[in-house]
Amino acid sequence: MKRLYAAALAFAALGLTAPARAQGSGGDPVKGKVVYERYCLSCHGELGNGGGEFAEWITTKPRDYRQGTFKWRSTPSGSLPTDADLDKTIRDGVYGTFMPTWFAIGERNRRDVIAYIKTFSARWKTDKPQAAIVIPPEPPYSEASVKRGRAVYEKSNCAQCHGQDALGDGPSAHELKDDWGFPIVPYDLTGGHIKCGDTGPDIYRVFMTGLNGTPMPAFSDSISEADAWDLVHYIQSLSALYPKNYGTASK
Amino acid sequence: MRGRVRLVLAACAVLAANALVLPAPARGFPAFARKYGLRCTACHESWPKLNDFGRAFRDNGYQLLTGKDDTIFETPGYWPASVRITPQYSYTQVTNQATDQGIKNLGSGGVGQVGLDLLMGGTLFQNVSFLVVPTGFAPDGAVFLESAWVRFDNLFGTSWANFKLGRHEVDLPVSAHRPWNLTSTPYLIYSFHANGSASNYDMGENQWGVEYMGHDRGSLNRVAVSVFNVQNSPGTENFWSTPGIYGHATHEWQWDSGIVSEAKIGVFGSYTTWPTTSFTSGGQPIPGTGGNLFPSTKLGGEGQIWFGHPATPFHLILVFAHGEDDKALIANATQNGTFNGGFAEFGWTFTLKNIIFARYDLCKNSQQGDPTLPQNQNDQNAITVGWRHTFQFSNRSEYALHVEYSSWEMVGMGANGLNTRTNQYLVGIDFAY
Repeated sequence: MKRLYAAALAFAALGLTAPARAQGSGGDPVKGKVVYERYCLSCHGELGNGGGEFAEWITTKPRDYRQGTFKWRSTPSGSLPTDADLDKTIRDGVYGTFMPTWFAIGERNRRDVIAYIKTFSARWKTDKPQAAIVIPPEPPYSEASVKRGRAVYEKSNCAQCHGQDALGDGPSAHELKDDWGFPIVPYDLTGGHIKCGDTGPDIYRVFMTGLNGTPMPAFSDSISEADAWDLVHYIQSLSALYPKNYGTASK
Repeated sequence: MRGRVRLVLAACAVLAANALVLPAPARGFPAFARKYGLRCTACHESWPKLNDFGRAFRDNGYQLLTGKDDTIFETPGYWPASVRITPQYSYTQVTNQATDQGIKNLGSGGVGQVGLDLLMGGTLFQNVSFLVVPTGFAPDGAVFLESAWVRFDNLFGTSWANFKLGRHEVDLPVSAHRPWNLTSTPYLIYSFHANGSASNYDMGENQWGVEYMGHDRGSLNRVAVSVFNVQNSPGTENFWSTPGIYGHATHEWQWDSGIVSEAKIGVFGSYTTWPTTSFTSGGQPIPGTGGNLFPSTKLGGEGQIWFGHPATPFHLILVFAHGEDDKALIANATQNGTFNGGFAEFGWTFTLKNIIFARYDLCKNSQQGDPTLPQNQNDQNAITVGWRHTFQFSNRSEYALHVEYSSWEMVGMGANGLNTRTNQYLVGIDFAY
């Protein structure tokens, strides 16, 4: 039994002595290619163009990596994402699409595949991600904040795409296309989970950085930080998950 | 005349052994791949053995939890069914068989008349999953319902509350239905009993019962408990006629290391009963069958290590157990029969399309129930080596070349108390669609 413990400790030591890295950084693109072929290729395609064998059967098209354009970022609109942003997307998945959570495959797989994904676009060689936006502390959730958030929703013309009741059925909903010319449907904000994550900061980040490659712009120039938090609370109030499961809903 | 009978019996023994070369029930589920658009490699370290992602998917109730799991998101034409079949050439030799020409080694081979697995599974609705597997369909016409269960997943909003009802595989350290090998050499420790035990309980065989299962995110910590009526018991009348219980708990580490990327440890154990007497309609006991249940137990541990990069790992598995069968289950026994055993297995997925694997099984009686028998009678060992090369895979199907050799020895179980060894050679095309 002592030997068993000793072996377990030895394995633990092997893991603990691995160099500490920021999430997703410092990956090996050669190993990442194998990871990509194992997990990603059927949707994102051999060329990284989002044209995998399954892509034609799904409506939310897989990301075309060749332009270096990514939806889910902590960086300002137009910027490349950080490695941590990419890791978050891979780790948590994109709810409501065919992009699952790849949490189970572990950090090393994710780190290496991020390094490989970057090889599809020359932009990663000429450009660098800008600094992540600063997300101020979240004020308490309250009915008053929700009410103010509704006003921000109307003032910012969110209903034009997301609809009066945030069902994703606004007047423009059926005319929208992404940068690749594929039809894109505004998200139904009442359905429960939010695509990019359920916490307040996740939602705040979306409308302050926008979703590059889609018609969803960044509102950082037109919405104050306080208004943004009110809008977060309004969106959270639309779902049965909130505020009861506020920020804790897991995938 | 007697010699001819012995020859026929020996030939039958070889044929029976050959029949065992039919592929072991195993899982590769292209219906899931079609539903989610993922290749086989997403869920399988090397088909059919699951990787981390596949284990999490299974533990989540065949769900990716992206909001697309409910069947209403599928096109009406989607049918959650797959088939797996392995056309093959196989040759089997059994040593030390009694014939009218003395003790001989007997062999036979050919392109076997293989059966198939019809795999039907997935979700009925969100958080309600199922698996139904009729298997067989060989020329003998027999079809066997290997799995038939429904599972209620993520009850009360937690992944620690999942309940399965029906015929299911208990949560083994290594699934007996997902081995890399296709010859009939099983994980010996799963079915091994003390020499002469009447109990036919096989951990690797699916059981009718209920299972509780819980896990955390990514299934790094898992626990499962099954309560069931022991399969194939001659005294089976209802759920509690021949009760058994099995439990398994594991903890897994994942490291950002190129040397050891993952490790897992676990414990498992079973307590099962088996009848020694049955009763006539008048309530009179019939010796040898039915009631008077007596126990068999197994308690063991596992250790698994993944060396190298997790996308192309060298996966080493060690499983060991100690077992005991009550003396009442063993003819002429004056004491309980005990044994120790386990296996060491590795599979090296050196590319996504290639794996070499090998396994050594060993089971040894540590105490004969009948102390007059040789200490090592019915000790067993086996070695299995093989290579699989996948020609093609997609999100719909896969086919692979499978080459394997296995050798299974039983001490003192041949003619005149000699050891007997079954050597099997197999070359086949394993495909699933």
